[in-house]
Amino acid sequence: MSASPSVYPEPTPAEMRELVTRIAAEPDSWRHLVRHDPDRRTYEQISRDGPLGLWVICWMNDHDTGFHDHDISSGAICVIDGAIKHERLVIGGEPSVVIYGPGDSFCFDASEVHRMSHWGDVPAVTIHAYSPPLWRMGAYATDDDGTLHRHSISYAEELRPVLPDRRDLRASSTLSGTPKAATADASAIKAPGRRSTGTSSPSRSKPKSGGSATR
Amino acid sequence: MAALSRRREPPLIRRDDRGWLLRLRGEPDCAVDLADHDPERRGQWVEADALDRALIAISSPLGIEALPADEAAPLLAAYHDGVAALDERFGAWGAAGLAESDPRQVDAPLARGFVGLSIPAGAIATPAGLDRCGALLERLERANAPLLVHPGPAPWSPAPDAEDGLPDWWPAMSGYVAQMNSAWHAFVATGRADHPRLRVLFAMLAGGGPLHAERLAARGGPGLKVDDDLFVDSSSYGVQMIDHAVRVLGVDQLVYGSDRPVLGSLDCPLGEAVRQAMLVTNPSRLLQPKEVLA
Repeated sequence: MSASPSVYPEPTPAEMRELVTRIAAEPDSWRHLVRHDPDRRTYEQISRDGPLGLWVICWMNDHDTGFHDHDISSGAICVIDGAIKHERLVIGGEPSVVIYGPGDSFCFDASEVHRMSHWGDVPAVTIHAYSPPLWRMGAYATDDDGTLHRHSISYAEELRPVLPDRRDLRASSTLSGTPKAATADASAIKAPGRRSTGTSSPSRSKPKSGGSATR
Repeated sequence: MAALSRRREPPLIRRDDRGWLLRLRGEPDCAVDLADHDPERRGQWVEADALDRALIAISSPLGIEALPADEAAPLLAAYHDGVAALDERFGAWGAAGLAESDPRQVDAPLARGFVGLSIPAGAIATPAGLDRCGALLERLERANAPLLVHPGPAPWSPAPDAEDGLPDWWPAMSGYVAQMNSAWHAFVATGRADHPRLRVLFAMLAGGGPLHAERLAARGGPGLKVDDDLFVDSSSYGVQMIDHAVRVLGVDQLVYGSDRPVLGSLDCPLGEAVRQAMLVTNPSRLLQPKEVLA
């Protein structure tokens, strides 16, 4: 029996990289969604269908995702404005670091564990594609003894976070169970006895100039 | 309840040695605890569920909207008057009789502060049903108010007679699911094209309709394109089905719903961010007028 085509053919990471680069050149589809918040990254969904979710994300003030994965989703990112530091987790060593500036793009498959943070003084804007659209994510944190823990979270925890003024109202038992301990900008909810994987100081590369890099 | 107790044909409530019974066409008789409908008890549940406000909808499976106009009118009036008298912990959806689909039935509840209109899923379970309700839906769309689709029959889609011996849960797992699933797909087929600006909330995850997106595409239907103005509520579902819905639709189209007072509320079990989306952010998008129509 021959294989039938998928109902929802999913783009490859390389195809998504081409896509985000193309969308970056079409600001009418996303420019109205650009909004910077000093306290947090802002996420706006450009579109979502069966195989693909597209987002525009705005960064400033060293906003940081912490180390995470995207469960079964691959993805690609294109930087519009500003710069982003991209780190990949290395066991027993410092993270692998690349700085991406305007016009740079990169892609990743679902197996990658990575971290992104705002770099420099200029607010950043990035276009993201995920396939299949984001559903669950893994957020990483370490215990005091260095053991690594993966927390399965709804993508809403990352992309539709609770507003700060409501976070203060949440019960401490809920906070200690929240796996965003792996994000540096969620220090308010860091669980006692846990250390974020984002607290080490990665070696800093010089900002990458021009071109693109597939990591 | 008083209006239902005065009726001689279903829907009605009757008292016998087992207490109060609700009798509907097509469903086994079921016991009703009138205390569960006491406004103060309902208000305490709103507070216990940590809600600022709960929106009440008419129980469309009763079939009130499907009755002949002269029978529906006193029951609809009793419903509207009853919920309009509730305190600030409550809001409500208006309801309309469908035997005479007069669009002015939309205006009166909205003028009284009802948030939108609810409609039985059986009324719009096919493109032809959507056409029959077209004037109502267009009026609602022009008023920039949302539609709630809830399980229930229409005059042109009566519930089939109930077989003897059916378990109590049978209607909720068969007819209700089928009505909601059909209404979702009817809206996909023609409803959105005919009502491009209408904000719609489908109860009970639209009977799982969105979860069939791959099958729809495989059968030649349109591929899934998430519609910012189509919402589904979570009534009677828990973590597994809500998680499925998040996977297919994303979190932005989900709204918290419960089947109180028939059932207790269920938690939003997917974390604080999902809870915030389902209880605050998304209901706000559903209920607030998007913009003034020309």
